[in-house]
Amino acid sequence: MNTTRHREEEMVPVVIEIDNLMYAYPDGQQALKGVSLTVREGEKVAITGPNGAGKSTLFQHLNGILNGDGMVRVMGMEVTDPHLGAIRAKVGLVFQDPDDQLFSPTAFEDVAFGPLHIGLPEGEVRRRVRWALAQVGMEGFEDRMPHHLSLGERKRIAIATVLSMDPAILVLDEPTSELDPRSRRSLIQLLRELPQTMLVASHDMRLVRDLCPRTVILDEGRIVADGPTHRLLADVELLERHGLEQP
Amino acid sequence: MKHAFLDQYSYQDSRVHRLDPRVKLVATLAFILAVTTTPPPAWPAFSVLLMLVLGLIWAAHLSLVVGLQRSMIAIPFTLVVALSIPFTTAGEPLFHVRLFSWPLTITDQGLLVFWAVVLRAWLSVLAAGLLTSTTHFVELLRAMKSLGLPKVMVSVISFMYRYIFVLVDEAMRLSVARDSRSADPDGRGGGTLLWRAKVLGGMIGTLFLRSYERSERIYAAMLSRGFTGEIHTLKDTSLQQKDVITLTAFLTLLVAVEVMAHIYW
Repeated sequence: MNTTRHREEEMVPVVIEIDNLMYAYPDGQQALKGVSLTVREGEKVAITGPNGAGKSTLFQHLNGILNGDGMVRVMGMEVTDPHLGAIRAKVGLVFQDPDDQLFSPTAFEDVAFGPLHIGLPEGEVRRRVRWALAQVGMEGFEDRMPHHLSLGERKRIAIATVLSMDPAILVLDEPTSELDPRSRRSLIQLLRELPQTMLVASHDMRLVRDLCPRTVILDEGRIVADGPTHRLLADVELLERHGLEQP
Repeated sequence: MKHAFLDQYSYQDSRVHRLDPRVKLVATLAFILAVTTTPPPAWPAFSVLLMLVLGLIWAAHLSLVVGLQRSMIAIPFTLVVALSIPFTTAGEPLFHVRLFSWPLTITDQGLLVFWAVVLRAWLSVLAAGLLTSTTHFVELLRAMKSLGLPKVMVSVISFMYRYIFVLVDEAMRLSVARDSRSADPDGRGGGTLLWRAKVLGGMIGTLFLRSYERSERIYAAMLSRGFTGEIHTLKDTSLQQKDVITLTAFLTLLVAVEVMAHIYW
């Protein structure tokens, strides 16, 4: 039983490969102290851990916004300058605050930004914008301005801004933070339905439980646990040691 | 909708609202140019221009009262700038005043120029107000871009428009946080003026730092979506014939008024 499962896993291609990644902030503070992680296609992985554990820092290495020491490989390409264009088209990074992600005056322009900068033709850009907004349930919001939208709506459109680039991997930083319960539930439902490989940083433990079969706990720049979510969430002592709690 | 003070009227509908934003932008700039080149004694020309802008405000279904009120904003600034004109322009002296022991002479020519400057500023602000009340800011940005304003400048204005709301929110939160801790149980609180100025200075500094940090996150979000330093935008739609006709008619009218102003009035 166990060996069959193991063999099946081997067949699924690896999409993210991180080996001994280290990163220090310009002020000298060590944010990542040797992180190694392998993610296979279609996996939904939660990265959890206390504030300041290095989750956001880790994420910004996945598309070369930050460059630490160690190896990061995405879709078989090393994250280095010659591959950045291709990698950024494949990795959709959604920032925690939609006011950072949505920097254009209208939703249309924001969702079109990625496709335009990949160099897609105009018809295709328009098609992708419609498609991406439909994917997040925001059809007809093209001309709306971010400051007239609710936080839940802005979070959805922030996800559409990367879906329009047709990424293979979605990387989401605290997708449910500050959302009311209803917006939160519907966002989790949306994320469950998206087929992409997903890395989700969160300490919303119910999001972790409901969305991600696999969980990685990061604390002080190190991976301290990596395994099936149900097993990690059952280990109360482990959770408490790293500033977390059961859902 | 906490920030209804911008774009308050640009959602309404009228023939003026429906005009192509490029036409409105060019027409407004041409109007301001005409106003500023009209010579001082040509009062009929000024009245024609005033009738023109008031007529357009009426055609746009905007309130004349609100339009006039809004245009008053510029008057104090103009007065400050123009105050010295009556005293410094050469001409026939009208009367003399003494400011402390300083003799000042008001000339007829100076008074004329003074009124013209105030009038020009007021008419220009009226026209600019009409433009922003009938054109959504987003459309104005598109018009600027398609009329050849450099993309970088359009982007800067676009970011300003996008984030002014976020900044206002942040400033309001800071201000609420300060007020919540500014208790005054025995009625003699409030601190010295210097102390309060320091608090305000700290708030402004905080706002600046937060904006700076936000700009770095925005830049990271742009890089993540393929930004490499060059801004790409969709192509513009072409002008419709009726927009071209409207603009031509408007510009012809302005030129006619100016020619009359310079020759006859």
